[in-house]
Amino acid sequence: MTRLVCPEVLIDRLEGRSLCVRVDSPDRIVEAADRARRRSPWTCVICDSAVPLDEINPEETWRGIAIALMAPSIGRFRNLASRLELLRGLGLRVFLPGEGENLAAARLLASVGISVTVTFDGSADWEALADLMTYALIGPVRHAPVEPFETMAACYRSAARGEDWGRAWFDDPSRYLHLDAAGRVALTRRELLDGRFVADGISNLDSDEVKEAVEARNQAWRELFAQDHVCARCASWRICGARFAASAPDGCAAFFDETTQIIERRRRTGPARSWQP
Amino acid sequence: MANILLTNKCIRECPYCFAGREMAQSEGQDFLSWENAVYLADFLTASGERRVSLLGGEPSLHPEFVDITLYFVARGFDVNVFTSAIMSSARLETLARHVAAAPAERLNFVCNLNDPEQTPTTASEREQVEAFLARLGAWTMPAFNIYRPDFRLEFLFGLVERFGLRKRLRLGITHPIAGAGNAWIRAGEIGAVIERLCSYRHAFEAALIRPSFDCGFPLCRVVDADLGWLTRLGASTNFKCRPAIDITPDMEVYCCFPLSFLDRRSVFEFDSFRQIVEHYRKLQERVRTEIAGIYDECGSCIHRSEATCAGGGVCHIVNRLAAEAPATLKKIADDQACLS
Repeated sequence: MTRLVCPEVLIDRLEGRSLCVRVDSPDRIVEAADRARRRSPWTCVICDSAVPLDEINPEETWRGIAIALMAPSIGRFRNLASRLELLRGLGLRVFLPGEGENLAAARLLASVGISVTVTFDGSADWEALADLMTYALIGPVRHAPVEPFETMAACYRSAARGEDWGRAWFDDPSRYLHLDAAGRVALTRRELLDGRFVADGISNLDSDEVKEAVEARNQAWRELFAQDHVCARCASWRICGARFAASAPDGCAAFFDETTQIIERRRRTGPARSWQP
Repeated sequence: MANILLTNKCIRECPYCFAGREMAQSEGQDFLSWENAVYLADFLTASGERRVSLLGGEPSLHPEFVDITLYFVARGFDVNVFTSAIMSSARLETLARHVAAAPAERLNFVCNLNDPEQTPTTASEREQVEAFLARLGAWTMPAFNIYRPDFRLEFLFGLVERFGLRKRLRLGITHPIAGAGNAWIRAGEIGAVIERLCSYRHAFEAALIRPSFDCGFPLCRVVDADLGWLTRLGASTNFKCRPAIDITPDMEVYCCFPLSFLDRRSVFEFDSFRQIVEHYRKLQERVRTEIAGIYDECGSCIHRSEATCAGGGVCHIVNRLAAEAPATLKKIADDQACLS
């Protein structure tokens, strides 16, 4: 079933749908979850926070709610140290922009048992990302999952084109559609922010035009071959799915090649098993 | 236990400093990075190590000292922080506020205290040390480095009582750093130093403070009566000299500060902490094949051959070789460099 990433204001209009409710403040998490839970096979709350993780006070009432907390950074560890037990006990995943100090912060969070996701685009620091990916997949000590690398590993097929790992970012049109407050439908969060919609209202959610747009997106990779795009000739294409083809990035091929090798290695050796608090 | 240097910078210039040469010659990065802190926590965890010491320089000079300290606690380590306790009131306030939430049994500040008369310092520094002890005395174990035979301990008993410090006193005999010119206790002076130390037995007993020996004390210079007293008091006596394993902010590793110029490696060369310890144990053994111990009689001593006593610190032997047989020292370094 396709999940709808929607603002809180649409909950009542999407009864019966599987929802990822987007709120703009941690204060809204509990109420949004309660409302969604009453009306739909609700999935999670996505919270866009303008402040670092250490300035957010997690609450006991968050227990039992799947929360994707998007923060600009983690802030200072000293402010998190006394909250780690609570944070670990919540269904919380922290999303960080995958740049600068956030890459070290992602490793730090995972190492103390907090699930984390880094987001990046074609302009990423691929070498730094490769370090984090290596830690995520074959680090010597067991830690919380670091996405999207776990999803990359799960989606990778050694002998075929893998599945779309963008779902780790809610960015996979076959699984997630994004709605704005007016109910307009976009295939990705980026396209929603850019005003590129495939349907102009909730009433068209199940229309053929949306289905066709999703299918066209799922098959878009074929066009790269027809165009003889550089991504179509890249050995790492099977894992990246040409996700960054539009931005013609430099360095992604080496990153995904290394990721492939690490995934293969992990499949041979298994995950780390050392003790971890 | 691994010693992780959070920084090479220090706020003091103690005449006996073990780390002075290392600090002065350091060209690496100034502060341990978060990437390396997490790497070390993983590396030590995977090696089965559950204790770690954070030091410097002065570790509290690291901009994220509080964070890194709490991180190692959060990772399940028992953490010793070696500090001069000299820090701004703002930094102390931050430290005290966050340390209060940490389990006291898992975090210990080892505060190196100097006799205010024999090792004079500024009034401002004394005030800062006292402010630290007033706020964090319950987390603090006093430490004293003996670098002159006429040392005095009276001021320490006063501080323990006044600030409620932990009742264990870490005692170190200062060692030579080849070429550094630091103040240190000669082998011939150690007997008198231990005798003087044991002359404080009534003060130790009255205050219920247990001495804890750092490395390099030779067993033969402690008379049996004093050994018995130390045992009854519950002192932690140590007559060994094992690799301390110091890890710098840029992830170099060496045996200990005095041997930091011999066979420096990168942590990344090793698969486990045990492998590092074994590597530097071989270095110590190699040095001792040249000279068995700090006294002539060490070569035939049953306690050394039975490993009850190391025969004093290897650093004394290295210091002697550096002065008397530099070619031998170079040969040792070359041999060690061939080990992988």
